[in-house]
Amino acid sequence: MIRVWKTTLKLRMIFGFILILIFGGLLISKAFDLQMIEGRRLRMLAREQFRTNVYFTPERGNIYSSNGSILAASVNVPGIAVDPLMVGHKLKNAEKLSKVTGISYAKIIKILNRRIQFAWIKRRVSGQTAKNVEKQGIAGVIIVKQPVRYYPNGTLLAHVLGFVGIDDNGLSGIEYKYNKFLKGNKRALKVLHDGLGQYIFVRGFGLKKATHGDNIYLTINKQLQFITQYYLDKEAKAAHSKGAFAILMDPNTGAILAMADYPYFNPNRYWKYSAGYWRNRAVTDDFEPGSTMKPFVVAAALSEGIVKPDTIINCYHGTYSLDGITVHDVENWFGRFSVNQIVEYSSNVGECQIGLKFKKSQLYKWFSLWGFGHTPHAGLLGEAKGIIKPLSEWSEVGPCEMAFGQGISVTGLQEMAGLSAIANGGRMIKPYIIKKIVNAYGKVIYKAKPKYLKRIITSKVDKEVKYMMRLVVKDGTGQYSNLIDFKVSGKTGTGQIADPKTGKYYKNRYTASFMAFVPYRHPELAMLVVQQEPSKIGYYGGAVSAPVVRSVFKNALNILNVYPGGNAYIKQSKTDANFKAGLVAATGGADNTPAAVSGVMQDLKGDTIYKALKVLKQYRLDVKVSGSGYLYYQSIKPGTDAGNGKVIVLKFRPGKYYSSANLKSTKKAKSKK
Amino acid sequence: MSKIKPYFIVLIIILTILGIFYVWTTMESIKLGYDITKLNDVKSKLEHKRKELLIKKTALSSPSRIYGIAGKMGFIYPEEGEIIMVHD
Repeated sequence: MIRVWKTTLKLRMIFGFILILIFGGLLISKAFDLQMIEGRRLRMLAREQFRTNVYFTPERGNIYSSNGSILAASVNVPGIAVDPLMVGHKLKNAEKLSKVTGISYAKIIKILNRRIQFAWIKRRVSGQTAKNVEKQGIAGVIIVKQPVRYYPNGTLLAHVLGFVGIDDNGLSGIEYKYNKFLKGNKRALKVLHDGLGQYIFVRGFGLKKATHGDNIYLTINKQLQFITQYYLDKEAKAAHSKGAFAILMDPNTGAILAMADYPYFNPNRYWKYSAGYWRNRAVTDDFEPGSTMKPFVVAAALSEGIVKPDTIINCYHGTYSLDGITVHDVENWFGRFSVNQIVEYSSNVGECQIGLKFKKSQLYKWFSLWGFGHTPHAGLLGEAKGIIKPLSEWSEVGPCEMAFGQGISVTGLQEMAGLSAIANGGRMIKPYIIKKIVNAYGKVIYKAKPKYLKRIITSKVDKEVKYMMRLVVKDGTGQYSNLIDFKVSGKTGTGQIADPKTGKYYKNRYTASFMAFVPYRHPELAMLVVQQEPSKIGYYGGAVSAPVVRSVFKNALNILNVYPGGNAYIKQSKTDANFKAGLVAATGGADNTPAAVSGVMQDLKGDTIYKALKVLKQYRLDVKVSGSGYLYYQSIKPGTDAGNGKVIVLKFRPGKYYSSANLKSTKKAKSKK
Repeated sequence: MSKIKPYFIVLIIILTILGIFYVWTTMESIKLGYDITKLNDVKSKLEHKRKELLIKKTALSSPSRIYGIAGKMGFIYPEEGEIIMVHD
């Protein structure tokens, strides 16, 4: 037996070796297959098992006012969604959901009975409602957070900002025009995940997040926007206007400081308003400007040497006929007027005579120089370019009519650009509303600079036109815009509205406008107010639009710290909320201010700011004020010398001032209690 | 053979230490990965909270709201002549 075992040893070894070779070969070939042939695919499959892509939805960029206050921002708001196929006990769960959401049972059951895998029960709910739904623990019902655009100032600047649809795309205004900047880029981030699906960020996988949308800063001043909107709304309602708009601009830079429309809408609930409410009339609507065209034509006539300010022109007592048309003035006592008076009293007949002195091509060139017929490119959605007929279509009476603003259509922005040129000394300037664009990492990717196009009138002509416009406000048709402390220059306009079907003017439909700048010599603000079809108070620009300009100028100059004579002398504390808002106490005890005893400081304790400053006006002191409310400290003591040029520090605090005497009595009274 | 043996043992020990170190760093790395995930969530939540508060602040300080409150308190925009210039 042993012998046989020994003789077969060699055979068995060979057999074993062959087996090893076979299995080894198989192993090696399998390893080769796994590593070399199938290797790449299998590695990919393995990676897929523990790696995943996490998609980061970019946040839509914010829109800010010029001083960085939020005008539009996105927040994640919870919504209730459901996979109807996963929901069991539908009747019972529908009842539960109806109870916590307030949505009707019938509506919920209808959703739950659908044969789909995803449906919204409600897209936007409050945080509390979402929590209540989660507490129910209904399988298949989930809370999904979605970005929602929010406009914290409500109706403020709504027409300019526009709004965003449910898919987070802009549908109107700045939101639409700058959607590609605001929207950002969706980006995937590769991460590892464990068996429970939890993400693990590890080295080498990168932490690149989605590129959030860019933030846009506008040139709009929130305070000025509010007062512009407030007074436009007030006057438009009083005048029963069908629509109205106002533009407030810095004539030296072209920056649009405020832009208001009436009627307004709330972009947080834009779907509740008809599309007509969404339109930004200030840029989309063109209109026949009427007499606000006169300063532009007169400036052109002065530049061409056609007339001088004192050139006498026959106004034919307010009625003038030629080539089948009759031009009327408001008054019939307009006889022979100087050019100054034609602008001051807004004589159509006089302006017609000036228009007729131009060659047609000459006047056409000037309209073009003022920017009429050209898109302003201010960065707003839907900017119209107005209508100027081609020169070949001008009739003989064309220059006459167009000189007083008929037969030509302009937009509010175009008029503002021209007005700014008159205000700033004769340089055409491009209006703009985008101040800067900053990306998600804080890098400024666009910064606006004032763009001066070219000087179109000399400074001499400019001064002459400014003076004429000053006369309009001082003694002419624009007196309702007059201010006591500042000199306003302006021009009224009352344009007739044409019937688009017949081309003839309606007898009782007008566009009432007023454009002005202030202060007269060194303008800081320029403004245009246009009311469409006012039917109460009157229809003249001087009656219904000039008061808006007056109210806005009066408050805007205060907000901008522009005081008569130049600089502000009262240095307000920046933390004083009332002064930041441009508000003062309505009751100040203005009438019983005691006369100052020359050179001797009075006791101001307990006075309001208004009352204290009224007293101090009689001294020649440099006053520094801090706080608000009632005065509790004055650095120059009562009864001491208050000589010229001294500095007095006044401190105010809320609550009635108690003198030391009555403070003691008050304490005693309290302790007795 | 007896000379090689100690070196061999030292080598085994070093390799073992290196192996343990590798496993430890890998585990730490995964642990840190979880921490980063949690911190990212916290960061994200705080950022959203901050934004919500900013929006709330803006809504509360909106000019129309301030105007309404100021009006109830007897504050108005000053009329001309109510702004006092102490000297010019």
